[in-house]
Amino acid sequence: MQVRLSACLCVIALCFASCSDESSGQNGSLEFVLEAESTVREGIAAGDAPDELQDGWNVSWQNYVLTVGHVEIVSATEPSLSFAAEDRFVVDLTKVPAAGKSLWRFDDVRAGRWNVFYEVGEPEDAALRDTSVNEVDFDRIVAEDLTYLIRGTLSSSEGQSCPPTSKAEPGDKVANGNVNARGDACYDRSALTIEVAVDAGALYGPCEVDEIAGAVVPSGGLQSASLTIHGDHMFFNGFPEGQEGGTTRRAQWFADADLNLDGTVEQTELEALSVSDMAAFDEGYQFGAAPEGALANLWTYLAAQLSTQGHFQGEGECPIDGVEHDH
Amino acid sequence: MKVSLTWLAFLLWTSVGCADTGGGQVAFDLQAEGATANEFEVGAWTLRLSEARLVFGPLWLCAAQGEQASCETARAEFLDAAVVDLLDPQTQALGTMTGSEGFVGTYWFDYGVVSLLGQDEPLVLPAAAQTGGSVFIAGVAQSADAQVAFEATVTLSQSANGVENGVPVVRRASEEIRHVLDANTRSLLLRFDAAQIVQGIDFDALAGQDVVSITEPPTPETAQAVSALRVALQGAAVPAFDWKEEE
Repeated sequence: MQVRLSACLCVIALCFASCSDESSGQNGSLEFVLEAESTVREGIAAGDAPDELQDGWNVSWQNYVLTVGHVEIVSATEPSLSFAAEDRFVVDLTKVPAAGKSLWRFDDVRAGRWNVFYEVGEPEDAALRDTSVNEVDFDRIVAEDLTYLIRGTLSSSEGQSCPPTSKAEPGDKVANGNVNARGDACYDRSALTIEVAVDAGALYGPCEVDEIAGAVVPSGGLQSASLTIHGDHMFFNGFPEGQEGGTTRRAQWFADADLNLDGTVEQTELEALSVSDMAAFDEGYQFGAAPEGALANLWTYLAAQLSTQGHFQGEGECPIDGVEHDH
Repeated sequence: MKVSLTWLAFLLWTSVGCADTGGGQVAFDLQAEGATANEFEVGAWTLRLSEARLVFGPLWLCAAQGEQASCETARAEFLDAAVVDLLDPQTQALGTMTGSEGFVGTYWFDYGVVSLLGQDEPLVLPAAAQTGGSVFIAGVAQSADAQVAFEATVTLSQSANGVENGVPVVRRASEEIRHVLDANTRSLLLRFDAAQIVQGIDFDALAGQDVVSITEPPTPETAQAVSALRVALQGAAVPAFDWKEEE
């Protein structure tokens, strides 16, 4: 461990890490850009396409703030050789350009293939505020040790919330006459506010694309690789092992979690609901690959889904917390 | 701390992906125990179970490890399914696991109904056909002012309209499954807890009915109970694993 820690200390903890691999004369550079999937930048539309929300809801994001960093590369041919860029950035992914934002760089490292690891997680004391994040949100992220601070809107002209009858607190709200498959009364809801502030940290890696690991540093050149954050996993109908193309995206469960029907889903409401409370979680949902503890309530479920959103080079996969994760 | 986490992850990755390539053949017993009394509390209700049978298998143990692990290569497997009496605390023989030496860190299993790639309908193994599904539980729930007799049968498989076909229902890792299979591996004991399986049922919602049949497709009245059973079997009620070595 000490040997490894010593190697990792070869980091310049500023905006860019620069590590020297003096054991080879054939060195190059590797930069990492933070990339937001289109589901973050553009939201998700209602529709029948596999990557659309198939139950009539649209989602748009006002903020999708994430704490991300501690990028580490490990030589594929000499695993004892590694470098780390410790910097953690708090970034609003809705404001990241489509081409991504360069945040980490390794210079003068040995040419060849490197395995890639990175983290999303708590900001700790050393997080850096990206200009895309205002100071109020940054201070909240740091104070509350948040991984994600997400604000968005679910909308549908025909939308409705159908909270479980046994836990609904409709007050003087008037039902619209519809009921769901369990007989829960429904209430018109054309727009619903999403605000999620959650610790959903994860360690990703070794990352790969099409089963090819990591990134290649060219001799005497610069290679770029992207750490891609997806924005639709909270709407998945399970925790897929295969390609996400087999996954259905639906938002009704979230709309039904608005127990007091005030148009905003609160953490306390999600914590008060179990997965089995929700009629929207029908037989089309499968939870057998949910991380341990993820099904305790809807809040843990949401956090677990968010913790799977780290990818590599677009749709490339990164095992989560050091383990295989192939979807 | 974070460096250590990465280091640990890399150590595990290299140990599984590179260094540990497996070796000779292994075979060991797969066993099960019912791990609970037949009477316990569920909220304000006291449940007394008269029957509780679960169909377990096939089971694959994989070289990868950790949450949401994939299973590119099964290290050991039990390709049949067997009925576990959840109310019997004695050790029950389910069959034999076969495979090769090496590290396992992930388990994948079904409850007697197997999804097959390219086929809409899953394969129902004989044990599940005999049981009528993946699990059958019967008993009486008693509260201060009500009593509900119930029979519950649910079937778990990857459905055609679900996330994906061709993979088992439960795919997970845990500390307790991590093990190095070798010639000394004698058995893998699964401990089931029927109380965990029914813990999420809202018996208040079933009150007022003398006898309730919790089956699929559910009625609006039994939908929560069916969902609670399905969620439990994919989450809190998966068995505990206990390895036994040759003395």
